[in-house]
Amino acid sequence: MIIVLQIAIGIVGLFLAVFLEVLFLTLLNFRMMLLFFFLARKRVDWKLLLVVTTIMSLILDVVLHYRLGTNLLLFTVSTGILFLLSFIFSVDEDGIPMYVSTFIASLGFYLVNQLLPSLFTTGTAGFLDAKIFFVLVLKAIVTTGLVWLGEVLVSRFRDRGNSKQIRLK
Amino acid sequence: MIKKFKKTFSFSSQQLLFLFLILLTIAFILLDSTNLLTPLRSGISFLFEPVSVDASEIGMEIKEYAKTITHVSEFKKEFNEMKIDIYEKDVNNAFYHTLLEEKEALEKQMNLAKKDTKFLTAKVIGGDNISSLRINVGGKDGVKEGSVVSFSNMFVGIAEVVDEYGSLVNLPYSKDSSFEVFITPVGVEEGVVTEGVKVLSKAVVKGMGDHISIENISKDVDIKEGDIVVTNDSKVGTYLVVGKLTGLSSNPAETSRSATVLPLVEYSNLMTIFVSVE
Repeated sequence: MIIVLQIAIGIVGLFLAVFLEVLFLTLLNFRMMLLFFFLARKRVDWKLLLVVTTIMSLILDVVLHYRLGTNLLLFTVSTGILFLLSFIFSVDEDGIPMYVSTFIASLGFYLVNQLLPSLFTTGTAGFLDAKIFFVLVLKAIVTTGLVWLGEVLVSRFRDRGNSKQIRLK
Repeated sequence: MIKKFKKTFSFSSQQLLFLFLILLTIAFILLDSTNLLTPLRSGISFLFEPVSVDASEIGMEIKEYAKTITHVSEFKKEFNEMKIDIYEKDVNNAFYHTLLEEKEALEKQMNLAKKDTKFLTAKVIGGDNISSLRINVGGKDGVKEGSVVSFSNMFVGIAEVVDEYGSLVNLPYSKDSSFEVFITPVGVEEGVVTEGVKVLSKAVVKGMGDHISIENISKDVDIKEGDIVVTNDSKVGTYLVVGKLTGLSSNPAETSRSATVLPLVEYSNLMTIFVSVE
């Protein structure tokens, strides 16, 4: 019974997530999915995160008329950057290093998002100049700020005895 | 303390996540270049495209509202500029209308009025439009008390008070207005008294304030409603049309008949009129 309920909530959540993602993309050209990915990265089991990310990426590829796998590639780039930075400093512990790595990963995500979808669909990389790069840096800063805000809010609402995990399974 | 917190995302899991993401990405990109994933694409499109379109439309609407709010000062400025522009166009339009009206009035006057009379063009600048009109020509322009005011060949009134730069014209509606006329059934075409006019009866026209009365119409002649009333008075001049007969009395006990005169021109609509200055 609980499994059925979880599946139902999951399906509704998918629709809601797609709605919010497209809404914010139209409104502010901002990727909410990336924000959720950064917040869930430390708290959700990696297998579940992989499944959810893959499903959401495929859905967004279709509704944004991208080639399948494009959004997945964006998240791969972000994860790759975090993975590489983890050799230099801790990317999971709360602190400045984590937010710096989040900023760099976000910037990587937005840079690839600016260049690759167009390359896959038309064969020409997307346009990038100093002004657009500045906007991308700004978006990465906003994403990092929202990740910090999300961390603060989640830590306030969490049970003190289980303050590092949100169990979804 | 640190041991209490179980890390769900260790180094190895991050490595695994990255590895699987790379593999899935390559797989999907390669498979999408074939037609193998077309059913998947169609299915996702069928399920999620409506949600996406709705979200996109809502986003666009919110964006438009936000744009309107942030640009409200620009819109206000643009609105004020457009308002001024419209006022300027209205003023120009009114000016052109005045010119057109004056041209048409002059054409009528040249074609229809008596050729041997000298006229002065005047503009109506006020008055109550019932018993009097104020015009913008006066003694300095050659207007005298008693000057006849007409519009083409139709009687408008008599200059009653003449100042240096303006005059007051007494309309036939005025209670002070009284002059002799004759009634004719034919001989008037489009306000012009033609030759060979047949005089049915002489009569006297009197202003009653709210209407123009005509009295002393001969009882023995065949007069009908709609017959034309034409001036025939030394102080007004001859052959100026006042209006047509209406409301003819039919009391057999009366020695003469009376009626009401309906002017052919609407005095309140007059803008350009002509004053006889001879």
